Amino acid sequence: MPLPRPTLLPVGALAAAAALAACGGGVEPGGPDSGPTGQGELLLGGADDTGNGFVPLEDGADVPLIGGAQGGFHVWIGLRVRGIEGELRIEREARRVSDGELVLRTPVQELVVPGEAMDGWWERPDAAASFMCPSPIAIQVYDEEIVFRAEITSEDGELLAVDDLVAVPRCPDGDQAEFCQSICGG
Amino acid sequence: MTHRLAIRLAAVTAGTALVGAVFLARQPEAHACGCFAPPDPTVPIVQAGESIAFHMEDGKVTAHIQIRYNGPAEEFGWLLPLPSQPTMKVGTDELFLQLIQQTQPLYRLQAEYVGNCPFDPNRGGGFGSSAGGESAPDADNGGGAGGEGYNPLVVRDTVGPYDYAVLRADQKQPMLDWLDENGFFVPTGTDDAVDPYIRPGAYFLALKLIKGNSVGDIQPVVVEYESDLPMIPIVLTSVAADPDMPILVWVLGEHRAIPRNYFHTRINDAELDWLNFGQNYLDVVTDAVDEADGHHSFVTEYAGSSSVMADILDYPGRFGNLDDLRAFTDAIQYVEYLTYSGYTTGGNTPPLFQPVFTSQVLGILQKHLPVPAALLEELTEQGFTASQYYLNMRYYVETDRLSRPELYEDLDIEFDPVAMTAELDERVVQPTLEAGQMFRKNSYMTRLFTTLSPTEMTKDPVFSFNPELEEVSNIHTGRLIYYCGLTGGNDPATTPAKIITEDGWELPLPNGTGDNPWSEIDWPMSYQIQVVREEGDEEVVVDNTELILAAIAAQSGDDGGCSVGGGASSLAGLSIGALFALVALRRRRRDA
Repeated sequence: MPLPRPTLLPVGALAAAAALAACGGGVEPGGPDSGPTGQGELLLGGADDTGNGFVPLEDGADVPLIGGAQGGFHVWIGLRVRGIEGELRIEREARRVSDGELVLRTPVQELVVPGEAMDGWWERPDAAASFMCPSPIAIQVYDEEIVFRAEITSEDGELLAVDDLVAVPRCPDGDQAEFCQSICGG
Repeated sequence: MTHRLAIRLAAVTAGTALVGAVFLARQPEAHACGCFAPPDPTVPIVQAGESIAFHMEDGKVTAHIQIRYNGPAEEFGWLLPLPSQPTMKVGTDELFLQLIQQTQPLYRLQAEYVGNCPFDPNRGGGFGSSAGGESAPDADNGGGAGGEGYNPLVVRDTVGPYDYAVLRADQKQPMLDWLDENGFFVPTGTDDAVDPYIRPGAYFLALKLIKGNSVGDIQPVVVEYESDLPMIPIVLTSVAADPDMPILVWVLGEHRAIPRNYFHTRINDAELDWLNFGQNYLDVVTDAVDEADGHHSFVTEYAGSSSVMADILDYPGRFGNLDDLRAFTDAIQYVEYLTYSGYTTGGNTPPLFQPVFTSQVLGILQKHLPVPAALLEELTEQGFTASQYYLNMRYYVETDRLSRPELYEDLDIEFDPVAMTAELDERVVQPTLEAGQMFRKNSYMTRLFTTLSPTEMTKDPVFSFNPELEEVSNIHTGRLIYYCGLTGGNDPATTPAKIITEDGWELPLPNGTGDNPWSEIDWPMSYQIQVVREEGDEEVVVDNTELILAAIAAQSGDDGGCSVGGGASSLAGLSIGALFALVALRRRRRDA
């Protein structure tokens, strides 16, 4: 059963989670959070099947592994932002909760947040296709709790907002099930 | 059919200043990249290799893909599955020429001399030189470790020499039917091979040559699409690939790139033919990666600054002023302007070390200012290409033509400078300058290499980054120590010697470099097979240190022990030496 998501988690707790992950001891999930100076808030969620919009998710929710071209699978991670704006940067990563193994770390990307985010939640219209499979060698990602993390920073690297979302990627049924399990099984 | 990867191996042996550049011209005969489709579905087109340069920016992957193909132009077809609707441009072969040149693995030996070696170039009449403090070994010759109505068409357009189409790949049969109906043919086996790529929201990019273009007009393509990570759709490639097909990948970014779902191999560099500049490198890599599970492994050939490519493709002033070009009405002046304004490349490339027109420029020149047929035939017989004519056009047209007019009967130097310049701009200038920008936007470059046979193409390799991994040089230096004793012979080929490879394996040559006993050893071709992740150090999953050491000991024993330096060694001595060497190497690594 999905767990209700906490509304706020101090950055220190996230740092502790990261440290725990670094020690290979698993990851403690977090919730929406503001950066160290409290400029903004970030909330991760899902999206519809086509990767549009924002679908709120509770920690532990199932998310479908979506088949992309080139033979891979991804999960849609939508995001909401509040309290910050401008040409910012976003970094995303995903770790397996059970052992902290890194599943995905994306290069830094530009994120343009419009001014409307200063008055309320702004939702990115298109979700991020978080690459999952082929998964790293010996790391199964389907049917496993994965903590997705995103950090928004300013152009000069200042952390503005961060959030974690725990979700369980599930392979599709039908024709793709076996193929999905083979390339998402590590 | 033999496919060979061009490997330039320059070597320096110290002292004798034996500086060499060996070009192992591994030229493909019939090859291409991606998936190819001949009109006759029973005749698969063979691919000789894939060369791809990726760079990432803001969630988009840009892939420069070199297409190699030698079949008839009307039979050229190319398919590439993509995760999102791509943008499509033409690229430049020069990118790959320069990337290969700047990052090519290079194996060389640095010679050292122990004792009185008459052939020591540093010898000043005294006895023996250094060897870096190395003493003549007597027992240390072990190694170190080292639907209906449904239309799949999204976009159809032309770019450069290509007629291309972007097709929805959410249904297989309509897509294949469309390709067939529109002259984009699909080879035998593709029907099944495309299955993993048929998904909602997926696309295929299909190419063919515009009628009137020749195979020589084929140039790299540049596709940009949204994706977190770059990936090679190698499963699809399997329908038209050769055994042990070389796959060469450059990944630009902020950090060192890793094969995310493939193993990573460190080759056993004792197997390399160090005395011949590592000329067996391709075979060693092929055998080494085959030792990994599924034969799925890459070798990192270079990891470091992308500055090695800075100002090479897009140096200031390159290509001159296109308005000047458009104003020329004299063909010779036009071509000379090209010659001196950076439309050539390769002035630093063996074996000729002279500039040539890039293949794209040559194609345009031949279209607008063709070489007289009889002259071209003669040049070809002499081993030259059309580039020779254009680089010396004034001589040929104004001098040679007077003495041999029969070769110039079809000479036509009337041309449209505006149209020709426009084509140069589209197919040469802009692609080259844009390729050069990659190295300004991305500070780090990684070159990865593997070979895969069709039956091994079961998993698409994905690349990611790890900021914690160390750089990898493409330049590898081993040591060649001659042991001359007090009255050394004059012939280095018969002087006892020892090779110490870069990884520290010690390979005695008791009868000199002319008798290399290390070319037929039964040992692992990989030193280590590793898993590399997006963080942390490499995880060694197979370590062949002991097997390599044992093979070295056995070989040395079979030879009756190593007699370099005048002392025969026993197998036991070898083992002890090997152990010390192993400990020494491990300590060096920790220190590093």
